[in-house]
Amino acid sequence: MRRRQATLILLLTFAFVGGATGQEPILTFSVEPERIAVPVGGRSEMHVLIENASMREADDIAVVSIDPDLFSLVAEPESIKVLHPFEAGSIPLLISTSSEAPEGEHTATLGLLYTYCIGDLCFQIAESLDVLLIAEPPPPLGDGENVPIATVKPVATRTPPPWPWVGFAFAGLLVVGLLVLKRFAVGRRTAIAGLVLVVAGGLAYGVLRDQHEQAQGVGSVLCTSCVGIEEARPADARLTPAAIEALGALEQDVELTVFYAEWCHACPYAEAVVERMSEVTEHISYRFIDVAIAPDLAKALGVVRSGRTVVPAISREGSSQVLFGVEDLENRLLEFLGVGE
Amino acid sequence: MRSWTLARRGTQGLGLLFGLFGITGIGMTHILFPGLHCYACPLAVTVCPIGLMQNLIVFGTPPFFWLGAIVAYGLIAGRGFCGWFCPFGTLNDLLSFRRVRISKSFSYGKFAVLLGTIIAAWYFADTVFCKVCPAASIEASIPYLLLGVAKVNRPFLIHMGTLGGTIVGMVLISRFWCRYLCPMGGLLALFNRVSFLHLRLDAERCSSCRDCAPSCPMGLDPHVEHDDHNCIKCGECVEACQMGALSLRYGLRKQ
Repeated sequence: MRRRQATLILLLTFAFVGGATGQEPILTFSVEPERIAVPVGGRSEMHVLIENASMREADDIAVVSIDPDLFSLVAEPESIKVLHPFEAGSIPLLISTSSEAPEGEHTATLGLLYTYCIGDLCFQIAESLDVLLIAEPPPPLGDGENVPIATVKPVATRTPPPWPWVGFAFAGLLVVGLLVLKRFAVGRRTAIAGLVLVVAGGLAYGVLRDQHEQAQGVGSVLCTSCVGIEEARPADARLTPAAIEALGALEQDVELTVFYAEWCHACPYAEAVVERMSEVTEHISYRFIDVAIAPDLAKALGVVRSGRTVVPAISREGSSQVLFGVEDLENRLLEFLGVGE
Repeated sequence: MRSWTLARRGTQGLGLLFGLFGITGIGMTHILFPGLHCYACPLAVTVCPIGLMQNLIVFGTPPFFWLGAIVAYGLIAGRGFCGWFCPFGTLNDLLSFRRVRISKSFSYGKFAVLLGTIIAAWYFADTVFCKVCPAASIEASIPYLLLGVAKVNRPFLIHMGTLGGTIVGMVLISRFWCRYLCPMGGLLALFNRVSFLHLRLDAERCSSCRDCAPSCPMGLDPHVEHDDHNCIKCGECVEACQMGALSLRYGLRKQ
């Protein structure tokens, strides 16, 4: 009986604590593309890819420096505010090359900073990442000038979490429950005492980690594809040749605002479509707004109604019309921009 | 109407009212609903535990708050919530015309659905179960269609298919969804034998007449299966027992 009780406690420990460790780097960094051609005296774009394979949340991930002085970061790169466990993200960078840089291969070192916390203890981690830059003769004038600096946004992409963490928690619950159900592990009162501890610990630690807010956030975002409002989100955000051609007809400047929510499954697709469109024509600029950060604006545009958030939603500067959802988004956006059929 | 049934209709009404409390305009709260109730319902103010569970898996969040709430509900009443509070359980109740004997083997189907929901959420990184959930069909898909927001498309038809199948099942077998398929029922069933709300049998009074069996909407034989994971503690058998051998109790059980 004691051995079974010990097994039960061990399962609960696995489910709740996972593999907690002390102060160590928790992120892995890489760059894309691996070899970056940079025109002498010009600029090039690259992405720092970040993967959080730990169970900790990483905050304020930023690229803060580049060495040697032959290269510099154009503007201050945007940072990723929060990277959740088992999440991947990327930070876009614009690298400027000095006109004095000799042609050929150079190894530059990026300085990166981020923080993470274990309970009340927070750590700031400084890391460096080597990047292979190939300085090339400068291109003809005009190239490299259309990169939309202000519109580039760090994108967090989600990958399925590995079993060792989430799987343990749910499997632990199932096993514990089944043990209780079958009554072959522990007596009822012992089981109840253990479960009361799970309730107290789970709720207290969950609230401490703002998981009650997260539950509210998940609940308030309307999953349009879940209830038949629209088809499931498409996976590929590439524009069709017809859309690219139609965008060529856009003559006036348009500013789009994409409202998104952290718990919206379809939002990354809508963001990607708008990004692709802005790459086709310089007349489109855009911004992404988290409804949690700008609730008043979201309410004013009807993106949040009666406490329910309907995202993705795309509004256009100077227009009161708002596009909701992702179904047939490409065509609806073209129409929204006045270049649709 | 008998006293337990009357009381239960009252709490079921409260469950329905709680589920539709959004009419007050208070918006979504932090509370997990202790039953199967779609949070996409236009009037929902509570979070569906199964929907949240899938999102936590998709986003890789360790489920501390969720786990605490689920175990709390499990301890408070276990499957008593199915019998006394869940709006979808209430619908099952209203369509309970044929109280046939439960198939014990198939009753483990709800655990399979629960496990399948977890695996599908992880594998597809999506809330797959929500797309076929009959509670979502009736509480969200149909209302949004009536509001002119949804349209008759493939996901809507899938919803109607699962809802239609479930309703046919409910009509043919009382509490069909609760017996065999409900993942929320599966979750609460895990704690059914330790929950404070429980059905108690006084063996000395029981004459084994089996008068209680036909009254059970879950198709159990309460005088021998009063501690079963399928028991929703509705109290129908308590009222059916002429000997007063069965009773609903709240608190710690005798070992």
